[in-house]
Amino acid sequence: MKKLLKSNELVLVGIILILWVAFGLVNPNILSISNVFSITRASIVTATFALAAMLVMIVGGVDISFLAIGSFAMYVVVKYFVEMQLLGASMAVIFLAAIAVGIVLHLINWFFIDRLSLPIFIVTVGTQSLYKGYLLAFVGTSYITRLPDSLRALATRYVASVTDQNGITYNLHILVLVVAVMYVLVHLLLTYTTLGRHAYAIGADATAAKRAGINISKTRFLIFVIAGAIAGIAGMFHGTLNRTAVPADIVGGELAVIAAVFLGGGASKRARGSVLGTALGVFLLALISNNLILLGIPSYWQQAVTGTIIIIGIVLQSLRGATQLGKKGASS
Amino acid sequence: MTTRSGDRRFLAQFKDANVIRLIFVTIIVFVIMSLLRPQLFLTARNFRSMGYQLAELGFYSMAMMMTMVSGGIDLSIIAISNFSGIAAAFILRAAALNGAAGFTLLLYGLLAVGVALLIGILCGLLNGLIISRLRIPAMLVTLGTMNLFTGLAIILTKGKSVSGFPSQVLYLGNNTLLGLPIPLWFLIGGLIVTSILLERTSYGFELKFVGQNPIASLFTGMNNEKILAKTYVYSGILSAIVGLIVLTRTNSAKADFGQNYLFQAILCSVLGATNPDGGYGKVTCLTLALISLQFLSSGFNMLRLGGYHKEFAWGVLLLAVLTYNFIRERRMQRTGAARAKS
Repeated sequence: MKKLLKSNELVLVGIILILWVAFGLVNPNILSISNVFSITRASIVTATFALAAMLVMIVGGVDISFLAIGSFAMYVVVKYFVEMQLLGASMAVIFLAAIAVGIVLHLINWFFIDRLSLPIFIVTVGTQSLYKGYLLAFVGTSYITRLPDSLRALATRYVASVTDQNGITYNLHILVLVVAVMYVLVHLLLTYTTLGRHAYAIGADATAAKRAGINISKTRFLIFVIAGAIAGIAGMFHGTLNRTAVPADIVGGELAVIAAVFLGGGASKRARGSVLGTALGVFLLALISNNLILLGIPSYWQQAVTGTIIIIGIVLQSLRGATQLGKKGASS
Repeated sequence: MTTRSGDRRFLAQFKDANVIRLIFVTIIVFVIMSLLRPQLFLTARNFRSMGYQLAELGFYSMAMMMTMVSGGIDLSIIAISNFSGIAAAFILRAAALNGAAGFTLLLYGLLAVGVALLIGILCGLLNGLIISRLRIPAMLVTLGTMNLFTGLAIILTKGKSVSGFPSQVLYLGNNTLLGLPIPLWFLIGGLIVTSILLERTSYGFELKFVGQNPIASLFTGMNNEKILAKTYVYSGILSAIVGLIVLTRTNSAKADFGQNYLFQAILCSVLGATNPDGGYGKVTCLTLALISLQFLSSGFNMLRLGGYHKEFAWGVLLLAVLTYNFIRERRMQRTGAARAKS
């Protein structure tokens, strides 16, 4: 099991290295630390959402609603704090509020999935439409450009910076480190706690897990709480980095995030979603989308290249026999 | 999950209950909307304009339903239809530039349709072959090909939209025949063909069988790979038809047109009683689901509430119907258990 896990990630590391070196031969700038900074900066939000999507995938289904949840949490919370004239509110309070909203929305999903034993995919297609529609129809459609002070400060907080030969400064954003810490925490949770092991067991074979005495309902509840919290945080990251609260602007991009999780081994039965794999998947897709322009390839080639890489990655996984999600990839 | 086989038996047993339930849903939506805005909702003009909008979602939902019945899903439908629509658009634009008329124009038109369908078939075949030969879940494969096909369409057009077709092309998408919009006739034709395929042919029987239990179908001597490949090719053809309809209706083709349709098609197909785990799907149910969704969205337009209310209501409707199914199923199980005891 460990071997499979490792080999899938090794393949990804291999693809990344090959691409990177190939890119670097054409344009040495791509190998520079400044470029790494900008790739990581660009993937903060995707990486955080991918973590939320991955957690749900581990317990056995594809979630479509995480971007709607994140957007909803971010917009509602920012709107509340701005309209209540609480611009000086501390960052912790704002983030906790977003986390709470995220958890509540994801628990609504959990209710339908667990209590009504409906497939995760189908329920979240419904709630995605519902959350997005509710947000835009009843909460508001206007952009909020004056964010609370703590978020404005966070948007430009850097931990390191590099100036390249052209005199342009590249900064390592503090949220990159925050995301890294979140990945480590989720990895520890999944690997070293009963909850994590139970989650993997449910995803691999729910019936067997039930027979083994695992409380499916409770495990899924906790996983959905964590995923909801992470989606809320990701939504706040998006608003913060954008420096504007736009309702539901990211909704519709779910499949791009899910593609990164799939690439990271989310498709494999035994290791449906590993934390390292997800991180590598996000990085690989960001590497392609951020660097084709530096290579002199017109930007309209980007999506075809991304699609090809996804197909190659998935086929490689399956050829190694790791893809066992079965014919029912669409559901449960 | 343990309930899944129960689900399936339930669905197989009460096929007509699905139809009846959806007729009720449709009538309820219709009555509410008619009461809220009778002077606008109950007009021929409104029904005609609904007819134009129905065709695109209708074909997409059909494609989604067929692949779901096989136990898979096709996320690449929008990409295929834009890709094939763009190919057809280039040919039609050439026709307009060359000033083709009469018989030459007809040839151009046939060529455009042929090329669009061919692209649909090839894209579907690629999906079907990867899914069936390499046994990779349909969702992963079509997520990849979705990006690939959209990407190819973007490369062809450099991200711009293609427009400027002969005026006859527009006529097809914006006029009525015997009182019904021409796209609606296409949809009706598509629904009838799909219904026959699903209910009256050996392919339809095999498709449901494979979707329900691929191992059993293999042991009864069915060629699972071939059936799956056929299904994705059919899905590709349906998508290509949407590409052509969009072209005639909007006078342009664009690589990123109609992205919202994807989740709407999934929603519509599941609302139409299609079992997302495979094995069951019925065109009657799909049609009713389509009509009730269209009533909702037209009704909200009449009430001058935008698309956001519509999306909200669609989500609520899906969850409400799923919840109702669940409650009903549980009640059936309970009465069944009680009967067994006595």
